Amino acid sequence: MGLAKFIEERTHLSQIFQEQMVDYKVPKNLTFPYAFGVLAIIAFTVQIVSGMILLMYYKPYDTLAFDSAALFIWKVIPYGWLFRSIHAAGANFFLAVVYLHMFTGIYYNAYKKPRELVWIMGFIIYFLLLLTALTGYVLPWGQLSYWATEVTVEIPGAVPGVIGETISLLMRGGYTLGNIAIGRFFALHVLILPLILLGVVSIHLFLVRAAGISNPDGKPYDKKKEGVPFHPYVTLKEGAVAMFYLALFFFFVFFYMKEFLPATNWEPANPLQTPAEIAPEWYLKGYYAIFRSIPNKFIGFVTFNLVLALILLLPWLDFSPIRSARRRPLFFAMYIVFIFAGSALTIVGTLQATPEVAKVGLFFTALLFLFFISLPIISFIELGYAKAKGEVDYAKGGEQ
Amino acid sequence: MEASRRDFMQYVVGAFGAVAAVGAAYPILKSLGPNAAAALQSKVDYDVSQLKPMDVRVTSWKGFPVFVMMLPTPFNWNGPERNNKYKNHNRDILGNHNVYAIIGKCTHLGCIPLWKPDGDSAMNPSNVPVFHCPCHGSIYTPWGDNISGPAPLPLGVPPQTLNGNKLEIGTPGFVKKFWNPYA
Repeated sequence: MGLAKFIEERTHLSQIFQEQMVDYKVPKNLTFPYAFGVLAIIAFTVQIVSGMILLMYYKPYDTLAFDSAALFIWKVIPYGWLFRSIHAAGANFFLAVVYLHMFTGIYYNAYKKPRELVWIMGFIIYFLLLLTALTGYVLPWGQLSYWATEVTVEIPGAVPGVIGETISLLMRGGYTLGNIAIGRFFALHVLILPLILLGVVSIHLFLVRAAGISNPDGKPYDKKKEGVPFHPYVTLKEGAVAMFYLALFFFFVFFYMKEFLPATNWEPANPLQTPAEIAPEWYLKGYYAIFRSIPNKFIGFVTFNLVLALILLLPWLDFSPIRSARRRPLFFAMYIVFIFAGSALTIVGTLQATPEVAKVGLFFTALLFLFFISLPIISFIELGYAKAKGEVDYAKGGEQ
Repeated sequence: MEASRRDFMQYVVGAFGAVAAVGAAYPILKSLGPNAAAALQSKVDYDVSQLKPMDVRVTSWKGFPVFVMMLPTPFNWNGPERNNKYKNHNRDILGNHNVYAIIGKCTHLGCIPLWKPDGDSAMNPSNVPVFHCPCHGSIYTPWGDNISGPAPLPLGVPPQTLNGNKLEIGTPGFVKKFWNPYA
């Protein structure tokens, strides 16, 4: 085709494709969870496109916001209901995929040298994504939107003295959640955070290519002899996984939106009446459970932020030269404890805040910290083991 | 060389990809188009039971200003005709009806003409009812045929039907096709 030749002579796209996608070799044994990264990109794209359509009609003003979403977009704009459903379900799916992607990285120890920067960038993406979800949740201005955000904005108020009050004041732009808060949450959610996210995701992807993709066994391998070309092996495999993801996603969009558009949020926000059950969304419930379990608000605030910090510091907490839970039975056991404690805390976050529930929450918080504390201990044990077997060279990096 | 399995897979996946692209583009493009409320605008009902002869009422259809007219029966109109391709174009469509709607937008540059039931001094003869556009002086017959001034075409005629006391503008009836000189 003449057009293809015209573009080819001026961009050499097929040469770039050959070098970057076909000559680029990856390990033969990449498993299915390695596809969660590409699913995260797809989920991000779905959110951006559906968000662009919603942006044309949503009005960020307290008297207009609810009707613009629940009436105008939902009933008047052709297929408006579809884009709102996609965006609401998509936010939950995006965060679920990102959590699965993080847990995959932890399991295969993909945060170790030379991938520490990848992990740091990934953590920044996770944190910014939580902020994006928070700022977006308030926009429909339903009862849950208003009150869940009110609770979340109050949490930094746990820091005693002027600092805590000032943080909450600066988040809201005033003493109540109103038009100023809607305005700045809208700007953050629609432009500021997505732009920063796009940048950080690009850096994250570059670093993955620069450091090389990890392999599920954690053993060194010779890229040239044992690798397979990225295209067609990984492109087609991830393409197939993406099809399954999209099928599952759109099943929920068309047939089961009840959980993602909860009934309480179809009532317009009433600043004078709190609904019966108020809590942040599931992706924050774990941290919320930790916060609620500790009687002292400030220590609770510090504790759940400590969990975030420990996740960030994983590459340095776990300094064992052996990689991948496949070959580390002690680490694997603690990994199970970590997943179990995290899931249990998320469930505890859904329960009513009674003293018994707080005790249960404290127990699982302790289990969670046990995972992080165990990492240096296990690393020490495995370092001794590896030294005895003469395998310490892994620690120096190299093909991994 | 016969097609390999790989070629077959590429064609099938490509075909499904095209279907997916259309499936994604369709709701996006439809969401940009007119919605149910706009569709309501494309059919306007006007109650003509209160009209008197020589009355002109203004309403709106699809964003155009519309003149709903009632002419007396019988109605003799001896104004001039313009001797061009569109001579009596609107009178041929509407002449047999005493209640009808025409689009009140001048085909010259879009102003709304004024109804002069007692005639206009700019016309010869000056006592026949005409529409006179105040912007540049175009003159139209009661059916919208342009007879004087810079207007190039007769006024638009929306599809319409008379249903008892309701003039349904937008529903094809005694006028089937939309005469649209503004496109």
